Amino acid sequence: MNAYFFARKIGQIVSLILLMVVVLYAIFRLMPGNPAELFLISSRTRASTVELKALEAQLGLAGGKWNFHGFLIYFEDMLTFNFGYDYYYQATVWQLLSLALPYTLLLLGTAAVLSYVGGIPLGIVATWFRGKRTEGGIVTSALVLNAVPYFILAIVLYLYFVSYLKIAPVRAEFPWTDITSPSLANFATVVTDMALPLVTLVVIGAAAHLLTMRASMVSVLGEDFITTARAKGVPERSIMFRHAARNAMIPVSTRMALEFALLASGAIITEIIFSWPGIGHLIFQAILDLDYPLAEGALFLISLIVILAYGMLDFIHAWLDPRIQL
Amino acid sequence: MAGAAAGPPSPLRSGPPAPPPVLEVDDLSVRFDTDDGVVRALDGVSLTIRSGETLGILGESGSGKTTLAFAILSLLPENAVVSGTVRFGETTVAGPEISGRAALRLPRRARRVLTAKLADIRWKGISMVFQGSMNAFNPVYTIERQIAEAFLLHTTLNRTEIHERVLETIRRAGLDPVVLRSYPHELSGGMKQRAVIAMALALRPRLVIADEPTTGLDVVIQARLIGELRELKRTALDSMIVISHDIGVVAQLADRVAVMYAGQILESGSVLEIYKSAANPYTKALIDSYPSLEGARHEVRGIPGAPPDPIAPSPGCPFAPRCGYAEAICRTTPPPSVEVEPGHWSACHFAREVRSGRRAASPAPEALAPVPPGRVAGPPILRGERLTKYFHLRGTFAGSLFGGAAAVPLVRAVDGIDIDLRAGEIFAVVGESGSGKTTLGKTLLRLLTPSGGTLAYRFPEASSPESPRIGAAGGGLTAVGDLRAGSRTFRAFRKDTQLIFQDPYDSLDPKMTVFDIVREPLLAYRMAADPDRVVTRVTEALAAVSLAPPQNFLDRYPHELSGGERQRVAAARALVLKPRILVADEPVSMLDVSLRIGFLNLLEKLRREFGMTILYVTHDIASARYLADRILVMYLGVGVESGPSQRILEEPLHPYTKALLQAVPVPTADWNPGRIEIVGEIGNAVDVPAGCRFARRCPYRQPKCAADPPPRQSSGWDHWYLCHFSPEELRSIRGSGEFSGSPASARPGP
Amino acid sequence: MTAPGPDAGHLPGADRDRDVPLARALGTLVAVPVAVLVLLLALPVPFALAGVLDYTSVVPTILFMGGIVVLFVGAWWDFGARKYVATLLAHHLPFGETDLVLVHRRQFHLMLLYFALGSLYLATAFGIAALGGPSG
Repeated sequence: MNAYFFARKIGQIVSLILLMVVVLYAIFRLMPGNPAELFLISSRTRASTVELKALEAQLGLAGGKWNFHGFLIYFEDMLTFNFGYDYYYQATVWQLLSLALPYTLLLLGTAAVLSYVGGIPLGIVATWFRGKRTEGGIVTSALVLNAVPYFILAIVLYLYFVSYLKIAPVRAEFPWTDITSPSLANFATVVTDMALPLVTLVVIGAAAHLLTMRASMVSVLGEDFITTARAKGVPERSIMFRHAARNAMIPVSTRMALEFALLASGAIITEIIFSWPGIGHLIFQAILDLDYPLAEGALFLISLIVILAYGMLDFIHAWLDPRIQL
Repeated sequence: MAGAAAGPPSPLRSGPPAPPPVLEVDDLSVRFDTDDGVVRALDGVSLTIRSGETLGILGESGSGKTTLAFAILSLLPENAVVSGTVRFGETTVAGPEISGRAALRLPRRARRVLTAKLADIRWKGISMVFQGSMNAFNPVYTIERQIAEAFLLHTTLNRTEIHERVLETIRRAGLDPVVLRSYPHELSGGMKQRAVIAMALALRPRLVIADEPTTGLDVVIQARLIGELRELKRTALDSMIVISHDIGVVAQLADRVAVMYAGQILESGSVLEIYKSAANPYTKALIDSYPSLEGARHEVRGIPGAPPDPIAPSPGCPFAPRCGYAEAICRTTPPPSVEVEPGHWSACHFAREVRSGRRAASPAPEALAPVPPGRVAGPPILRGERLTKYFHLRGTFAGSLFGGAAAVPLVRAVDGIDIDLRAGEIFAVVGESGSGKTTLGKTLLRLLTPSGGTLAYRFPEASSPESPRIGAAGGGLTAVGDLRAGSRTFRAFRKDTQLIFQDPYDSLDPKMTVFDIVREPLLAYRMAADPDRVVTRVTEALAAVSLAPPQNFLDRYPHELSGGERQRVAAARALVLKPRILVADEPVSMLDVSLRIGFLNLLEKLRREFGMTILYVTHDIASARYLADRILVMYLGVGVESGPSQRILEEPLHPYTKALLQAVPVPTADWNPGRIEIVGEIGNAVDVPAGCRFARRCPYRQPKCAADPPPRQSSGWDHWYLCHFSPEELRSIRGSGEFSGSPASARPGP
Repeated sequence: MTAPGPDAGHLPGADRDRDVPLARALGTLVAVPVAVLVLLLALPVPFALAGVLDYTSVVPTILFMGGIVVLFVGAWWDFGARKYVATLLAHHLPFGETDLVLVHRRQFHLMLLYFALGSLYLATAFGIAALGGPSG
């Protein structure tokens, strides 16, 4: 990896972010309905044309959906995280997002790390026990879990633990200060609040990583260089972890980005079901309300997280595989 | 001949003080339990290898030779069931209690002791050069790290000591230490193979197992490697097992040979004994499957049928169904092992009779009477003059963007070839990979558009009532080199010419039945209007390639067919349009030895019965010699020598042709790869020298060779070559072994 | 792809026509986005004349978005490098570390070129918006 390659990768990430900003704009403008009209309807006032025009001017919609002036304001705001003033919540969007973002990062980050850390080694272990009952058990349960959509598992967990057993909270309500000033009691609150959404994400995410890693390991273990290593007297553990795992990680690392995006989408759904006060929850509300600024801001932030994670995984991939990359 | 032969069931250990055995395999059988049933991979194999001895194991795919190697290295998979033992020195490395499935049932502690014991033997005691060493190295680690690993595991040396030992190892293998810092994908095939051998010898093990050590390499590099291995045998190696399907390779490296078939050793003895007076029908048939360079154009038979199904073995001799000598007893009773000569064992009911030649084999159905060379010489049917095919690298978009200052614009894949195919002849184009032979074949069929030169085809006289009068240039030939694709003349030309690809596994669509596959060209040329006629033509084509009865094949899918049958289906697809010219690009290189000759004989039959003109593209000069009337030897895009195959063989003039001929390993004592004086590897067809293309590797080169392009010289009888030296000068080189001038010093090519 | 067939064994000037195709390739790489730019400028004109859209307000938005797409293409397209390297390897041509760095450098430069072209889109967008007056 040289400086030019590195610089181009950075350029790719930057251009991807810019493209995302533009696509978000286009998607929201292409959606049917006029937000100003909707706003006036929902406030149960019969809008006159004058009122509508005034509101459109106020919302920056004057001159049509596609006017350049509005676009520029949008573009600049996106890049400065100034997502404007939200006319539903009567707060700046950034205020809303900055309250929600830490919760999402906490949930998504923990879930991502735990599912990689759990799933990939489990995939190696499953390969280790190949042909034995242990492997059958691991793989079958992973296959089942991987086939379950996030929202199904979330709903099942919710119904059982929240509605039936009533041992989990209906909504996560711990204040962020519980994280910033850790104490045992605070920690306990956080864990009980987070347990169900986290389990939903980690279990399904880890199952996916496990299956990918195992498939990759099995194909690598059939390669000639593994037989060479065995003949060299390399102990089985080194064969698995040193010779096979790194090769098996190469295809897995390309899939990891995709799986992170899936996990992020799962996080949105999970947040909605468990009323986790994160960005997913905000997106859900905003889309129902055609609340442009908030929805755009929230989607932008989620996409940004996914793109940055993708960029990081790309570098991991380049480091894993010494072969020519262009 | 050192050591006693290994022959089941009771090896007779004769002879005065024999060195101690390094490895003893005693009545070893290996079965694999699979979902399809029990696969009998090895069946009662017994061998002894003594110190200082090299044993060759000769067998085709499925013979169990690789399973044997794995058993010796105790690398058998967990579904293996073993009986009999393998002992390395004092240690039992494979046995019914410790190998395969049984190993799983051992108590934990016993297993740990066993693992430690085996780990100690691996690489330090027995090391291995694996088949297809293209993938023998882990792609994500450097060569140095992987060789050092062997030292790390088995010695107590520190880092710097290991580095020194690795350096020494790699130098001993004749490699530049730069290689150590490379990743495997950065090395050429020959270099990688040397590095693999270097790694196998790193710890100076007592026994090295080389499984197909030279397969997949070009013939010149193969010869060089065999030479190097023979040198290592004298200096660095104690004992060795060479596994190969190629009797030449085995014979050149081994002292004794064991011939394996269907998991059994059918014959064992000294190399010369077996080659000169084989006492087993399979060995005889296998040896006969090789078109040899020596001797006249003798009849070469393939072995009919396919290797036996390892899941449902027959009660008698495994070879009986394909054997030309078989009697009723062969199908019911396993053959005893007979010692026909001291140290020469054969498992056959008629071993002595086969050896003495008192029993004659019934002729194989595909065997053909020898064809007198040069029998056919019709008028030219396809003529290329100054034919060139360049691939632009710079000229393309990406090439101009990413080619550095040092890059060069064109790959001269075919660079000014003159070729004349005569109606009804078999013409062979011979060359190493990278010589441009495949590109030439495709350019001649206009599958690639020539970059320059002319290409002319003689349409059949009464051919075109439906097509417009095809403008006949001089001599009845029509220029097809720059016809517009899609013009009627071009379609007529395309219909008359067909191609058979190298890989029978890739070229057939797995989702189509044989009928669909063979019918496809008829659809493409809108000749499928009448369903009855389509069936007739498909059946005819299948019959023409000896798939009998054709009706049995129509509804089958490619995966149900053996490799040889697939290649025949591919041939049938090419034949269904009744082409006049057939280009066969390495049609047998993916097939098992015993099936190769069958396919070559099929090509001969097609020529004979349909008067087809065949261009046979190959790297194997021996098979070209067997099949072809005339040969063109290609090197880096140019033809360096051409003539009747008989003459090329008897009197090769160009130094490259000579090297190619010398490089084919033959099972005789006087074969010497050291005589091959050409250096380096073929390089690429881009920065070609201004003078002779071959100058950089030529052992006889003079200053003028590098400076001026060599003239084409004729030596009569339709035989020409491209060299500065006259035939007399070149003959004198052959006579004295050295050119009168000062031979150029050996310098590796770029 | 028809080369002047040089006499066999005689090398044509290997570097004679070196710069021409490079210039031409760069020309094509520049010409396509510029042509698209012109197209984007021209296509809405009939609609604007018909009064369906406000040219100075809508076209700059489209151009701006187009510019971002050009940036994206410049950063993510390999400009044929993958296929080129595969061809090199298929023909047994040497391809070492320095060649790889060269390819990466060229790709980086081409990315910068496309960033410049994308900026041209953006500049045009602002230009047209300015024509429409400060009211936007």
